Amino acid sequence: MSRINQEHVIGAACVLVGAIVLCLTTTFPKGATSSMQLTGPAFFPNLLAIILLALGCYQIVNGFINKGEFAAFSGKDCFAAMKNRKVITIFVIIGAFIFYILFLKTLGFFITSLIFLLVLQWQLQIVWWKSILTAFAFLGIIYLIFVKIFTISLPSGVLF
Amino acid sequence: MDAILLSVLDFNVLIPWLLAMVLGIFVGGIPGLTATMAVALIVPITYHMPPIAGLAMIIGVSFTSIFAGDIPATFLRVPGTPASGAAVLDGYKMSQKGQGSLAITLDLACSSIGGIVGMLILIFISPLLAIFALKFSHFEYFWLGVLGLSMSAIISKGSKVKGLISTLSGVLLSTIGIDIATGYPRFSFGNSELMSGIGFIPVMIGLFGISEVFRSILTADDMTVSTIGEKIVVSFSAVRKHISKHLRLVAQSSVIGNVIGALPGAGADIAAWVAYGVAKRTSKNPDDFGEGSIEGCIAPTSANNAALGGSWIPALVFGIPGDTITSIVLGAMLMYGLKPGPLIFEGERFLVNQIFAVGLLSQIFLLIVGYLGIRAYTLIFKFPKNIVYVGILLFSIVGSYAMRSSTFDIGVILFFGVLGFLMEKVKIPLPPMILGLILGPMIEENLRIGLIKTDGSFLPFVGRPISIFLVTVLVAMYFWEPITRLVRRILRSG
Repeated sequence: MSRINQEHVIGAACVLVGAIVLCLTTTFPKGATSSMQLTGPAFFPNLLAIILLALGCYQIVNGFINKGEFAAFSGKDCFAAMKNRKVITIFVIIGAFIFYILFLKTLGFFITSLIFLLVLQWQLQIVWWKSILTAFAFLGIIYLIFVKIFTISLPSGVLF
Repeated sequence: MDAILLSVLDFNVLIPWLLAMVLGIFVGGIPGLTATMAVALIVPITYHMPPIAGLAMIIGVSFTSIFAGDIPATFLRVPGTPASGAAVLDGYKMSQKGQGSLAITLDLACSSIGGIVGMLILIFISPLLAIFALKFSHFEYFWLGVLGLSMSAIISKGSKVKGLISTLSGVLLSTIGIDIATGYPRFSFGNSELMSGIGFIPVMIGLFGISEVFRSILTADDMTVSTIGEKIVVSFSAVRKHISKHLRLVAQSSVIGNVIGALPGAGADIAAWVAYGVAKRTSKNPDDFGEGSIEGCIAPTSANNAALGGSWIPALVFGIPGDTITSIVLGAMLMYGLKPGPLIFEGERFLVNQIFAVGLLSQIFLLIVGYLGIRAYTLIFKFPKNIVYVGILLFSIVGSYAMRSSTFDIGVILFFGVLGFLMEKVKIPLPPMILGLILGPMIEENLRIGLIKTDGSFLPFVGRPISIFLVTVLVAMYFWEPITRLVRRILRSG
């Protein structure tokens, strides 16, 4: 049985973030005067990183001391959860977001949003005619509010 | 008095004013569109209008959009505006318990009352408050930021260490981007978007909205049922008893909101969080906060609208903007040929009185326009969950993109959506991270500039009257409860 619990993971993440911040700030410029040394660009992030490191260590120790209170991580459970349809839907949403980020400038707002909406509605089991109808309704409302009223320019893509 | 009322109720003023208030309802309810954007949109339209018509539109749109931000916050856990961040905590829980009607009506009524209190303070004691606000130097602003940040410990449920980790992570995130003091790009890795920093609107949409969509999809048994199960009925008579019971809290939150709003740089969002924290601290039932508490619903919504009145205090009295909205207002006033500052109270007394009248009447119109707005939004929320969730995702994407025409911000909402979901899984509270992100720049800037001014000495930070007062409040917040418990025990044993 795994001995790692959520407290260890949170603690390790804090220690990792704190350590990365401390490493990165070594390249920050130093001030010329003593007061500038103290209050240079690294001063505040370093202060936060040190506190975060301390809290991370506390979490790790707490995870060991009170290990009975926290459920242990199980790789098998995580793998089983991946096959659940609802979990797959979350991954489809994440994939749709990445698609949107990658193709918005190329395909433009209308095509990218239409694909985004149709894929998600298909995954959420909305019947096809409702899906098409709501997709165009959403696009129309967004176009009216963002482009027509607020004159915000949305990418038209390279095809148009 | 009659002349002032007649002049502001003239059709040339009233019609654009009401139209702007309706626009505010739609702007506030859509994540990513802010009250500031609505005001910026309105100013060019008002160029050829009489000054009071333009100012009425600006005042009207700002009040309604701040309230409207509470509508998606209450029903979907997606704050429509930054000022509604604190409204998600108890409003959404109430809605989940089938008390959404009560929560949103309380929001509307308290927004209006908060707005009235804010305007009355503006009318009667604005010069005094403005002088107090101007006494704030870097030292006082630093303590104000720390005081605000300490609210995270109060608003967090469960482990205080996890609350602190969430807060510090938010503050650390706020250090990404160009360093204000030296111009050095921190943690940006040559990326121009990171150089501009992480905006708290995409972070807020991700942490609250997207993570909630993930959670709902995983837990919902049937995605084809309506998003809100209850019939939304806006009944002011139903909330009257709650408001009368918590009148002190409404007044307390409105005053806190107004005072914070009057401080340049501290807006309605900070006001709402601080009012929430103080309400929890002073409540007889602090454990109910975050679980659908009526007090937790009243405090932030009273404060954020009262803060708007507060932000007009330095703007009108000294010509110093209290927030981004009043900075646009000052530009608009100059465009109309008006010079904000002490002399405006002498030279343009009639216009100043008109502004006050518009501010007060806007609170009454808010009840009507807000009621219609709730009806309109609840029609949308009646749609099945799967359609509403897809809509939330697309509106969140486009709203985030629209902030600075950058796909980077879409990545930000996705990242924080996943992070927020995971954080809630391991019981790390989300609100402190937002609070840290909002207050981080204020704390860092004032701490560093203060230390530069004092050549590294921390003593002046605790040596000025207002600083001492703020530190005392800070200490009292943490030690009040144990001290009173100790005193009670001594008295009982004695």
